[in-house]
Amino acid sequence: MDALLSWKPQTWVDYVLLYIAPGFGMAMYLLAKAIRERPSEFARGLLNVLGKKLTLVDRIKDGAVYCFALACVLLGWPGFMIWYFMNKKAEVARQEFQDRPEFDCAPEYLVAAVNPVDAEITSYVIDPLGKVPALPFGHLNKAWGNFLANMLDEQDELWSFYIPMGSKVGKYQRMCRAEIRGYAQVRDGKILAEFMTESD
Amino acid sequence: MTAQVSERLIYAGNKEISLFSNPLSLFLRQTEISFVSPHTANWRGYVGTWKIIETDGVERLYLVKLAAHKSYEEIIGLSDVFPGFDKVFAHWFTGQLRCPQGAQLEYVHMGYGSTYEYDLLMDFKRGVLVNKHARHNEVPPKKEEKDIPSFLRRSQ
Repeated sequence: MDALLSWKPQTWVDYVLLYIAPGFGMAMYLLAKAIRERPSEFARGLLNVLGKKLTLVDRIKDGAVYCFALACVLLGWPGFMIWYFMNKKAEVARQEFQDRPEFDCAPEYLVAAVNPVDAEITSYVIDPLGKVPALPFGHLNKAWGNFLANMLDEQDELWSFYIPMGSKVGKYQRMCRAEIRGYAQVRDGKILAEFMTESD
Repeated sequence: MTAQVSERLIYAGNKEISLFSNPLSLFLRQTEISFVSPHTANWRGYVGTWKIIETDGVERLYLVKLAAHKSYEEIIGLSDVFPGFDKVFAHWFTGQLRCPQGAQLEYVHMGYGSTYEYDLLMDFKRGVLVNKHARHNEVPPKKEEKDIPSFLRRSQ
């Protein structure tokens, strides 16, 4: 151990070995990952049935590709390291985007903080044929109840929102074909839920 | 995606016409109700029949009939989704209804994408009809090979 710690590179070969050591570690990691992710027994069986069984030539080609990739990683490991971390970062960002809830309302569409009682007072629907329940938000009353039931935190605020027609809404920024109105559950400026009262 | 079976609209007397809009979608989204698709031409799992009824000079949109697939076999009606109501005022609907009229100029095998001679367009605000007009459609220009992305072309 002492000998290893006291070792210092002296010749250019030592320096080359020192340079490729992290690359070797990285290559081994990538190789293990590739082995772990290789097609399962079932997938290989399917490929055999489809007449896509690996021939000897294919295996030699694969081996050559792996050797070439190994050499690239050994020599160009700093670049691969940068690529690896950038890829990881992009993957995390992609996952965050996928996990983001699909709300049409965004902070720029919030109008004003409102009291739930005031919101209910103005929400009754008048229909001369009486085809709406005499409850706040009419047929949407149950949905309103569920929306309010989730506003348990003291920090939660109820905000009204208005989205003009033609605005880009939602996670995928689709264009809305009609104006949208409703209420949003807001905590620390972040929208946690929405209740739409009007849309197409 | 297959062309979708349309909603129905009873308008101008008892004439029933196709409706290429889904006014029930906000209600279903808010109440977290969903139906089962019986086939590829009905992904939403229901067909609603709507009627515009005039009262005191104001025309309102009502859902008067519903055939919704609770399961592949079981079809439920309006009173199952809206207990105690034989008609439902669509007070949540703000937007435009599109009713295709006349001959079909172009068939599109997706959603409500087909083009017809005319579109009867009706604008609603909270379920109340506020404007209506007709739009005359032309036969859409045929797409040339160069307008199609290379990977979708028949000959590369």
